[in-house]
Amino acid sequence: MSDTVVTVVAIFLAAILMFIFPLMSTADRTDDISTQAVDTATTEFVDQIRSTGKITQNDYDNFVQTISSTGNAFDVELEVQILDDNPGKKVTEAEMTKVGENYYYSKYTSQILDKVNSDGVMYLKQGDIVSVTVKNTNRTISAILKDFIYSVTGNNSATITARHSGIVNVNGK
Amino acid sequence: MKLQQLAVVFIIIILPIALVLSEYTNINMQVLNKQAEYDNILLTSTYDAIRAFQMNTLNNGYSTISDSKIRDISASVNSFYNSLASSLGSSGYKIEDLQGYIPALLFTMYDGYYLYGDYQNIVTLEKDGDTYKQNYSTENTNSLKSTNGIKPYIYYTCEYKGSNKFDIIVNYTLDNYISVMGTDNSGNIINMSGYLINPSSVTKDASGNITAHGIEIKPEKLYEYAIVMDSGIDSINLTPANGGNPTYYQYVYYNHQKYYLDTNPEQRATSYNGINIFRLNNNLRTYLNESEANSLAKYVLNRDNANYTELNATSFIDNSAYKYYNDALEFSNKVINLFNGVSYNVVTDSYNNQVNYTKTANGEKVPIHTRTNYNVNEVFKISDSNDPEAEDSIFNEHRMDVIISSIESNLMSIIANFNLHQNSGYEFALPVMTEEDWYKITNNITVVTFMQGIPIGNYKYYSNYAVVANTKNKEFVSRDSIIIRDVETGNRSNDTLGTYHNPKCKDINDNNSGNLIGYNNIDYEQQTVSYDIIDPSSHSTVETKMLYYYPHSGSGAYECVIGKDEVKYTADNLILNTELKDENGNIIGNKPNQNVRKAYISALAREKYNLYKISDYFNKY
Repeated sequence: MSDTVVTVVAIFLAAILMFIFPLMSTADRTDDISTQAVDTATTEFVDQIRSTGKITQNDYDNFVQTISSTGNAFDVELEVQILDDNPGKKVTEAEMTKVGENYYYSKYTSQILDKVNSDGVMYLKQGDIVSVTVKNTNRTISAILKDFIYSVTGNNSATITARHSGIVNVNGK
Repeated sequence: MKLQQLAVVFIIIILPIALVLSEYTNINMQVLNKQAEYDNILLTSTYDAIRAFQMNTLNNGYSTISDSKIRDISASVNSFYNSLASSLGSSGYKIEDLQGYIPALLFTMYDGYYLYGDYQNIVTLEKDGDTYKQNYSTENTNSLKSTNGIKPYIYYTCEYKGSNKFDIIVNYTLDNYISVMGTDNSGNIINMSGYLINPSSVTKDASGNITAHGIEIKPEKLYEYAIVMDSGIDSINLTPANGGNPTYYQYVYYNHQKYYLDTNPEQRATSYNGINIFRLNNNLRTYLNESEANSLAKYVLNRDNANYTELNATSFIDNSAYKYYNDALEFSNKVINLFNGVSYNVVTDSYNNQVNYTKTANGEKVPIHTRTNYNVNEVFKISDSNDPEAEDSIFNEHRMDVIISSIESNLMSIIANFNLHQNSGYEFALPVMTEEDWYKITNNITVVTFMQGIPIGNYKYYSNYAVVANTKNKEFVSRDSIIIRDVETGNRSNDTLGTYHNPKCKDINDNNSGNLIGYNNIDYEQQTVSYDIIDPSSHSTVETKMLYYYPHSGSGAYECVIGKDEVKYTADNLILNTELKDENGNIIGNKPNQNVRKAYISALAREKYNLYKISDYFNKY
């Protein structure tokens, strides 16, 4: 009798040990690799915008394609803070482009993509700040397996995220 | 017990241990990742601060004046926080939210530094009947909350005291320029400033010709492209000269400004009254009047009876390099005589009381910067082995020690004081900075940022700093900032754009035969001219136009300006005319090319001489 129980328990444990754990760990590593790939792609995309001074349809499509190749679905948030006029402008330094004293106004994903989709390109100028945030929207295998053991709810359940930002260094036009 | 039972027991024991261990490794990995992420964010933000400073100063003709400099630094601080806020993922962050993690920002300049941090030293207006008065009492300032801001400028100073009345304060800079103040042995008041050089490396013959480091220093013809503005017909709008196209001008330096020779009468503006020379007033072309033109002629031709009519394309030459060595020779002999035969000690506290830092890990005390060990009385004994223009001279090492000890003690106190105004439970302290970072700080205009106290999980707090050097600025001409090119190919009308090189390039040193000239690296950067188009009837701005140009045409050589593969020589090789050596001191290459040396040494002297320096006036009284 007790033998049977122990055997059943042993088989159960063996199944967890031999299948579930390796699967979870593999899924975890896959996510790690995806995070790394997405992180690199985001950094490259933002640096490209910073060093060329423009967001082009082509660059954006390439970026989306690169991150999608990890096999996940992503939500890409773009934000451009545009350098506005300088309220502290003085006659001796009538430089409209004094970075750091000026106000900024922001444009967000939908506005930026509208512009990029219609014109093929959005020009930025020296001193603008661009930031890109990427979050996955699907549930990765690792997340599903984790949910099986303990479930995480709420907004921050994205497992693959990347964020990069910086000041634009050149005038696009 | 049966095998199955053993196995189950084994698994029941091992499984929790394995789970705990994997969770522990996981947390540690997250901490490391978080740390790397914050390192990255801090470095990016610091880069952005530098970029903002560069963009603001390169297009600002008054950037070296201290009022303007403080504005540029505040703007740079704002950019740092802006960038930090957007990197941390919430652009809604205000500066105040982030200030709790930034105990100090350090901006090192040419002859001193600014610290940004919090302080209580604020004076407010107090109502006194119908008027307001300022209240400077300690109780009043102590009761105030702290505020963040830029603290007063601190110079790199060191005081030396001898036995008699000898008491001298020396202000150091990032290069060999020093200001000397105080009293000498017999109590005479000393007040002078200049470049300290090795007098035996420079010879001046009877007819006044100067040879420095074996190179005869000759006057140079300087050219650059510029877009200049003219005041327009309606006296409100400015119009760009030559249709907004860059024009190739010959220029000389005078009073730290460029004076351009205009040979094309077609482009003359309203300020023109017959004299073909102008200077720029914030991009606006301002032609000289007769008295200004005559004083320029006296300076350029080096004669008291010179007249502006003698200035033409052949005589419009720059003597700055000559004047650099001429003045430096005179100044250095004075300094050497002043310190000659005197035995003195350093009395500056920050220099003598070397600051120690307690490493919390094992309680061991580690000095933040290890000072070079030598007798301070040797510093001003200038000889071939102690040439202030060379990297490894005693003078230069002492200069670095003075700068570091000053920065170190002030940073310590500003970061320690930060604790008084924070109640986060984290103790802020100056982290140990590496010698490489100190080297960067003492030889460049830098921004150093500190970020501490952000929880990163596993009961740990983030604490690190970032040092970024600003190699493109108008503040300081370093030994690395000269870029050389062929004299003639600079003019685009010759149809040969030409390639410019780093003087340390092995390729140009091995293969050059042409006539070379050097310019400061910022003159190879894009310049911006912006102007408003104003509607004359309503006086409102209709549009802001931007024009861009490069003062020097051509492109950077791939082997030394864009890439660094062929940059083999050092500045010391070029200045002292020594062979190329490897790390072990074996000779692996020839001495540098003499044409390259000539261009490099002249350009370095010229650009250094024309920097705006606050203590310049010392020599005028």
